[in-house]
Amino acid sequence: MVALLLIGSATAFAFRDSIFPSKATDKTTESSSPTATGTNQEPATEDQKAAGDQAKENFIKNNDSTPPSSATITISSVSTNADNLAIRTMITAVDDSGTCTLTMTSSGKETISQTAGTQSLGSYSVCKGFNINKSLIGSATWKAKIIYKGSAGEATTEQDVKA
Amino acid sequence: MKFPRALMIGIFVLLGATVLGVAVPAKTTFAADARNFNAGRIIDDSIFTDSNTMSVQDIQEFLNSKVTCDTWGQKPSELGGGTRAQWMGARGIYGPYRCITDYYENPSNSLSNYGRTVVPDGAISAAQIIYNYSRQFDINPQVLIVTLQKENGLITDEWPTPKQFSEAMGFGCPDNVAPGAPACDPSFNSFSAQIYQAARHFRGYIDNPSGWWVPYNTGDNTVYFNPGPYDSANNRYFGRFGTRPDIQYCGSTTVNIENRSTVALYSYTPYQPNQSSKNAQYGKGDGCGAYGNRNFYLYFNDWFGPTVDAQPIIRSSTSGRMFVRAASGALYYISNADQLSDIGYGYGMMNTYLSVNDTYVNSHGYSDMPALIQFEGAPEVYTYTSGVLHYVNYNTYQAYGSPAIGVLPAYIKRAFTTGGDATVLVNNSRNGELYMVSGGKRRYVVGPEAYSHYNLSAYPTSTGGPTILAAIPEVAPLAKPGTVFTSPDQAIGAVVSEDGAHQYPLDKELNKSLQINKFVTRVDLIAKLDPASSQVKNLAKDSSNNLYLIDQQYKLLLTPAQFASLGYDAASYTLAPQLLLSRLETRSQASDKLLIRIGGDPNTYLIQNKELHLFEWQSDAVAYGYKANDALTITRNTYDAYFNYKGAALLPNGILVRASDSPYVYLLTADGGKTHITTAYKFANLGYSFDWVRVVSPQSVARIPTREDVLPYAVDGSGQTWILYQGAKRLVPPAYVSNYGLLTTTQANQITPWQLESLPRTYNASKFVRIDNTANIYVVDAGATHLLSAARYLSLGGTWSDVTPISSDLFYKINQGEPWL
Repeated sequence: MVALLLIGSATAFAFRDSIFPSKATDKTTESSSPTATGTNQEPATEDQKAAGDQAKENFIKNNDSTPPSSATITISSVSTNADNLAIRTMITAVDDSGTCTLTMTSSGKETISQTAGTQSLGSYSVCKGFNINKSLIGSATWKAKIIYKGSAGEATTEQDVKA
Repeated sequence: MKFPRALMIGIFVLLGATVLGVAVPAKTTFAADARNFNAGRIIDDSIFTDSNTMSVQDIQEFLNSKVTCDTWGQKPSELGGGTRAQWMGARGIYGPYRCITDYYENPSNSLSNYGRTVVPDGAISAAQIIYNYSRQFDINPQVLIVTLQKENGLITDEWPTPKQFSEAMGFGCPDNVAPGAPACDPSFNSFSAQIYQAARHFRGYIDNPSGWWVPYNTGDNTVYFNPGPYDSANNRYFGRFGTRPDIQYCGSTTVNIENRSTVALYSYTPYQPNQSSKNAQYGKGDGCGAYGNRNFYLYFNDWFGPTVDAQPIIRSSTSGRMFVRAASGALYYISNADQLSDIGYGYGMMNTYLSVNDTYVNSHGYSDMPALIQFEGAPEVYTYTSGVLHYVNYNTYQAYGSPAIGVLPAYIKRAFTTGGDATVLVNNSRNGELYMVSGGKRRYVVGPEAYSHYNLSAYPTSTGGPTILAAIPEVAPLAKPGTVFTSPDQAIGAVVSEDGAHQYPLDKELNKSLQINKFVTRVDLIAKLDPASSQVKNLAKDSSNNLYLIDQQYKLLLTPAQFASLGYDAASYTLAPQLLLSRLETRSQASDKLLIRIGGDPNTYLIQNKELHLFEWQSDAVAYGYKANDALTITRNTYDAYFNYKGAALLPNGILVRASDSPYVYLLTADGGKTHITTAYKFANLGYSFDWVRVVSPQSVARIPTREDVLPYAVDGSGQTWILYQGAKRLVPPAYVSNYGLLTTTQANQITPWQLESLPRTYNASKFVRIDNTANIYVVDAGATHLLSAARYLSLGGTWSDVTPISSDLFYKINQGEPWL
């Protein structure tokens, strides 16, 4: 049976007219489920526990026996702001001392190149770049190629981008 | 009007299916539905960064609710190897094993009570650590709790390993590490370091400070499904194919990330669930499934409520019921369409909802929608209607009867707009009805007349929804005295009394026949006025005992003669209030009996003892001394209620009539009877034309009493006697009248003077007659006929032209005397 709650004000009132009396909390409940913070304090369901157990099992397996996969670099986002085309990356390895090289080419345009270091974000790394001034690229479509070289090996990604 | 709950459920199910464009899913065993995972908006900033959601005690109580620790590993190991203690022992781990509920750690030196019976100096509880870093980086502690669970199940784990604490948030544990490097970065190798780094990075991903090269941004992003699945059967990654990187094996989609908190989640766990993962709910999908962000979504919804704060409405896919989240975490049940309208469903942000099932609903509990609402952290109280808030001050709150106030989460306020302040004069937003509220009661304001009469323009009007109005009991309406109420079907009617608080109830028939300005309203509203009298009827009287017939918009003042002719006794006339009589036009009729017409019927009737007598032609009324134009029109309703059409038609005497269903022709006699003209011979002798026969209803003919046959003679207004024969008239010289005897008597049913006048005149009658053209000649004398031989007649000097032919029926009505041979 669903609990019926009589819920009133949980806080004292201070109406604009300043004459509203304070109201005490008049909450009553037949259920132990919701607390004042609104959290569900029922025991975890079997599905929730099973998912947790699965996470634990994966955790232990990864720690014990799974060999690392090869490092990969991907372009995770391409966005623009007032001045720049921002290209962001993700490297599936932790490396604070690697190198990323961006090369952008477009037919009839001068090649754009930038180099950046890498930054670890705990579980993976990113290139510490790249922001390309929009005046350099105009409205053309460019092919962006990024090469990562570092302690996790070498990886390349390529993608068409446009400001 | 409230909808039946079952109907509303149906409506809500339909609404849900329509709004979302999907079929309502069958019941599942999960509360939140992973299929509702929105890759671009996993969680809203206002929720992700709300660090005030839980105190340390709240966190501790929550953790306690989710796990019972197997401190000594006595249960069988789910990972094999005997008991849990044996599995641990084989890896050099000894009890007491600590769970999240009783784990203590000193953040300064990472010493914990795992494997120890005492708490190290300076150690604080896991709940405290979560709380501290939550507050330090302004990240919702619930986010940290859910992350702990989705990373390695620490919240529900009855026997976690030490590494589950030291790598609790998965921070510093990449999917790829350089050959020979540790799986996780040892510099973050403690529970507190893990929580600290996770909270710090979440904050960094949100703030995106200079020097942070956060891989994702709001807008379009490439988000992969899986880093490259590992084929444990063959000890290799599926992704090791050709020149393509592992991560491309399962593919990606472009995700339009809507906020920084979702950026933070992807930056922390850079994969999205594929469809198999979402279909699996908490379970495993296919080889390309990823579960981090999916499980974050599921756990957060199930444990702490919706992750998207623009969805204050929650709908159970199991039952179709809809709810609004209360600040307490419980739910308010939207039980009818009025409430749905009042919270602004269909307006702006309210036009979406979170889909859950009844497991979620039951675990959170629910109560009715409150009449007034308040938002957490703010003192103001509001009514709400059509998605608009109206501030309620203390006086108004008291006038409303201090109804229940519900507290909603602060973020829901954004779903409303704010209108003018609530007042005691409330206009129902749904139907425009106006109510005056006072002392916890509301009175329906009946039209502009009441508004003006009670000077309500002195009060500002505000808009109120059905929800607040339903919370304020309705009492007698506020109506101007004399206002006439009627129910829509006119079965109930009433006149508001002089004090405005009572009613003079109207008889159903009177109410139906009254055609004055009436206020159509609900029966229950009329019933809220106590009766001040018995029912007022069409037959009414005033305080001076003047009697009236009330109908339409008039009152017909009855004369004593009319009262008598109507046939109802004085007790049948009920006292009518002057408030009603004064609104009716006074009419009168000069006749002794009432001459009426019935609405929609062109005929004119005379009322006599409750019966109606028809004047078929206006000239008929004239013949009776009435003027048809004086007739008063009454409604058919009044006629049906008080009179019967049983009386005979009032036809003038001397006319010929025939029932519409019969060939018989009658002459109507001066004494109100009829005489059958039995043969065409007689008809012809009387000089009648079939053009003169009026066809009337069979009932009219039947109701006329039958008289004796008419004979073909007549006495005119001058006293002259005429014999009628073959459509012509013969004067009977006065000297001969006595000879015929019979002709000295004026027939009551003789033809009318104007008919007699119209007949052609021929030779005068003599005292010699024959039947038609027969050869026998008779002499009439002293009231008898005597056969006279033709030879003798001629011998006496008589001529044939002096013999008067008469009809056989007249002849045989004269006495037969001895022959004069």
